[in-house]
Amino acid sequence: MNKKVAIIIMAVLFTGTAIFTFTVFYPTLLDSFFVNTQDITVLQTNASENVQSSDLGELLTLKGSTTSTVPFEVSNRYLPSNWEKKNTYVKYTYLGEYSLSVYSKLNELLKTDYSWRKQLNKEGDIVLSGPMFLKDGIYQLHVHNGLSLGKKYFLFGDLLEYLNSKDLLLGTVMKFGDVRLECTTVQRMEIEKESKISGDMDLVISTCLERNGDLRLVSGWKVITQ
Amino acid sequence: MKDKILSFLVLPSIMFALFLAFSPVGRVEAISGGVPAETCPATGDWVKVDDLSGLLYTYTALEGQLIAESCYKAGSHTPFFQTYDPALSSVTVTSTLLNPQGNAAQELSHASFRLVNEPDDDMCEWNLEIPADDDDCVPPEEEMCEWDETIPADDDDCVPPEEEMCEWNEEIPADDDDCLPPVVSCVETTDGDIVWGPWTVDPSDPTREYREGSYTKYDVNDPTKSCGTEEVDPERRDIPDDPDVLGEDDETGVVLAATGPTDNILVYVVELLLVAMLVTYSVFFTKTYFLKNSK
Repeated sequence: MNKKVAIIIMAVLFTGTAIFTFTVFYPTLLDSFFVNTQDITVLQTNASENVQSSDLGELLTLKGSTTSTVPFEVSNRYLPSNWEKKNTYVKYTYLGEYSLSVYSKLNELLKTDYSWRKQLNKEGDIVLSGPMFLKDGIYQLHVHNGLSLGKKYFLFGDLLEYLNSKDLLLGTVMKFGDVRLECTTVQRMEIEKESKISGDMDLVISTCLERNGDLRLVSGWKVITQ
Repeated sequence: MKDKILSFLVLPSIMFALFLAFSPVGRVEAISGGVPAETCPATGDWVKVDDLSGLLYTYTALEGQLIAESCYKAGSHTPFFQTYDPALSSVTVTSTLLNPQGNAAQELSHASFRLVNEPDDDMCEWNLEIPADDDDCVPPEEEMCEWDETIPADDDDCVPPEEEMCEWNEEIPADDDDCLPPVVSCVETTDGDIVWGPWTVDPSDPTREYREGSYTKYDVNDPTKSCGTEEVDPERRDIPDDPDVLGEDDETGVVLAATGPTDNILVYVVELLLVAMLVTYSVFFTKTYFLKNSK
């Protein structure tokens, strides 16, 4: 083979691999992977420090098919080190009362608008996100986990698993806007065998713990009122 | 050249136009009104009398018949029709068609008369204007068709006769298919499920709540036939404690959602292949072009 041709093949192969690797391992750098928060008003939630209501639906304005983005923070825990300098928001779409059609919509959204690749907005802020619905009087939020414990990905599931790996998830207080939620229950469960979670809670957040299985980290969160 | 065009095209065209303007074809249309006129009818109810002369002709109908219409023809004029209501037994037709030359009437050439049967004195001819209570003239009875199964069901002129209902009594045997006892519903009933109302605080005891219920009775033979609603005794219970107030457990089933990053397996496979190819080719490239040259 001509040396010149061999060098060209080598260059093409190297460049192609580099570009592909770049897009795979740094997905948030691609335009289509940004979380769209441009057309969504950042809501000030209905809660305030003195609010007595514990109705999460009322506090987060969960009615109809609403999509909201609110500021997010964890009050009593440290975040993974590479999260510290970024603004963090939480984005959710409320799908209504649970039904088979809601279940279909949930999984569809998790693959499209709430794809695991969508982690940052164009400003570089972290946007934790997931679809939400109401079941048995308790809201359920389903979020992705990149299984990197927050080192590589900026996913809600990564944060939850990161805190749980340090036995810090139970008792964690986080804020969705002005609404303060405290983690009251944590369970690792294989959903296909046992899907019941019980405890004093207003919100359940579920995230996966394995790539192709039904093992989930499920946490129950209670609205804190003063 | 122009002269040739004139002689071969324009002039013959002008001549043809003049021919059309003054040709007999146009004049035929002008006198088309003078085409020999029709004759009076002679078929059906009409009786035609030919070879008449003079200005008058009297026709008398045979017994039992009357003249309802007459027609006569005089000269080249179109036939002249006249109707008679009521119909007459005898009619005299008089030519009033004038001769254009001397203004004298044209003589009759022939005449026709339309005959109708003389109506029976007893029978009136009923129409809708006759009052319904006029005993002298009642509407004719409609002819009853004789229905059979070949007549289509949607034929409004001939509907099947209504089946005569037998009057059942206890002497008629039970197995007589022609006369069955009348069906009486709701003789035997079954009870539907109890439908409970919402729990409400018992006004007589605020620590308890109650709910009212009722059920519907249905006919045994026809479960869709409702036979009334019956109330049941209200249920009472102690007002349950608010689980949130007491901090009791909520429980829910968590659904299995596609929250894992499972959509990138193919991407990783491609990535792996690319890296493998790059490594292999790098080894080959290094051996071929660098190690070889250094030797």
